[in-house]
Amino acid sequence: MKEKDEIKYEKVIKTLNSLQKVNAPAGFEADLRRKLNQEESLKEEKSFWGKMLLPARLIPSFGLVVAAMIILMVVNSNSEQMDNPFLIEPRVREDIVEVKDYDSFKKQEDEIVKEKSLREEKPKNEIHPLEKKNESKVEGKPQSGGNEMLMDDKIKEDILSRKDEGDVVTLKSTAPESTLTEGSITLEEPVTTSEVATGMAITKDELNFRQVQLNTEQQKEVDQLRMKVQNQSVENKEKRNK
Amino acid sequence: MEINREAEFRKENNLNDLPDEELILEFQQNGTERAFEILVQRYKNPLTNYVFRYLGDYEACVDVVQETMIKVYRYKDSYSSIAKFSTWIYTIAGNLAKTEYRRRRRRSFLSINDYGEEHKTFDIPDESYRPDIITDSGIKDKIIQEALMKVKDAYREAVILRDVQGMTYEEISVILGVNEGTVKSRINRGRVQLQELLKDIYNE
Repeated sequence: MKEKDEIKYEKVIKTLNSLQKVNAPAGFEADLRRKLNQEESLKEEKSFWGKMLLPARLIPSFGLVVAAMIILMVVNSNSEQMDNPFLIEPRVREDIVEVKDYDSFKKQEDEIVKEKSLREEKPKNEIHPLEKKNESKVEGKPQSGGNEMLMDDKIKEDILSRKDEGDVVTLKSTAPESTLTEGSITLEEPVTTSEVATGMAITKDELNFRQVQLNTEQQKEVDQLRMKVQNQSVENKEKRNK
Repeated sequence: MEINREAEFRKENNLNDLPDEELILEFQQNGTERAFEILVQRYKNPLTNYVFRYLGDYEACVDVVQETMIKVYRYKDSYSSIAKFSTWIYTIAGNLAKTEYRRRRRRSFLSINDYGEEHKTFDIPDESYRPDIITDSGIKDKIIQEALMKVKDAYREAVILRDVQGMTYEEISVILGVNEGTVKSRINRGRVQLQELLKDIYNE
């Protein structure tokens, strides 16, 4: 049964039905077979090259990785952190002695004194190569850096002066933080200065201190400071006696 | 030897008697090339007619139909036995025809823009019309084809499937992937446009 619309447009439908049928060309199957064979041979070639080359999908991601690596290299080469380790000066550090057992500390002290006396017997012209290097470097440095060392020396001298007087000193940290790399000197019991001085057993020769040559004005300042310290110590002594 | 030949002959006859769905299954499961060849024989002309009426270019239409067959050959496993083979192959052909039509339209638009003056439009003469013999009926065919080409793509496709290929609304809805109501409305609109375009022929 025909629908309403089909009756309405009967003429159009008839016209379209009456159109000549268009057929495929004579060699259609042969052409098709040829194309199919071509495709198969192309597939074989692809599989061969597929083994030889990377898959095409990986190329963009590989490109991204390479680009990222290049960017990282450029950024790192510009940063200050990328210093040549062979050109960096080694940090000046002091030997750190941590004392927990006082008896063993005394024994160590004796041994160190013996070693020291043995060293003193050796000719003085044998200087450690590191010391030589430090000396040569310090000569070229500005004098402002030397003030730190002056303060260090002052404290040590103060301690030594007290040693002679037999004062009792509790020592927690004698050196400024810049010179201490790890840990600190901790003496749980009060120790006399003589014990500290010998117990530490660290002399300037053993440490790679920077040694600064002072001019006359600086020397004067140092002397004045030294005098002040000595006066203070004398005053302290008198106060205690009183 | 004779027994083998007889068996082959029987098999050949059997394949020719098989419906499309069984032939494609035979090709899918056993890789029987003969089954594929029979399908090509059955569908090459109806598909050529359908694609030609849609594209209006014989050479392009033959290429599209061959491409359709290649796709059937290559993607035979994607055919599901639930669907009708005819709707499956018409869907492939229709999609390829649409792609080709869009490509040709873009190309012709670009070529006109390259050489033409601004704000001027040109009619592209269709030199590829076949059959070659120009008769009265041939001229009439040409006029109808030209009218068909002026109908909107979506309507033209539905009208061709219904009034040229003689398919049911249900089959057309499967091929186009739209519901039957949409198919009917598209066909009607196409017919209205065609009637308007062909009114001179009817007056004669």
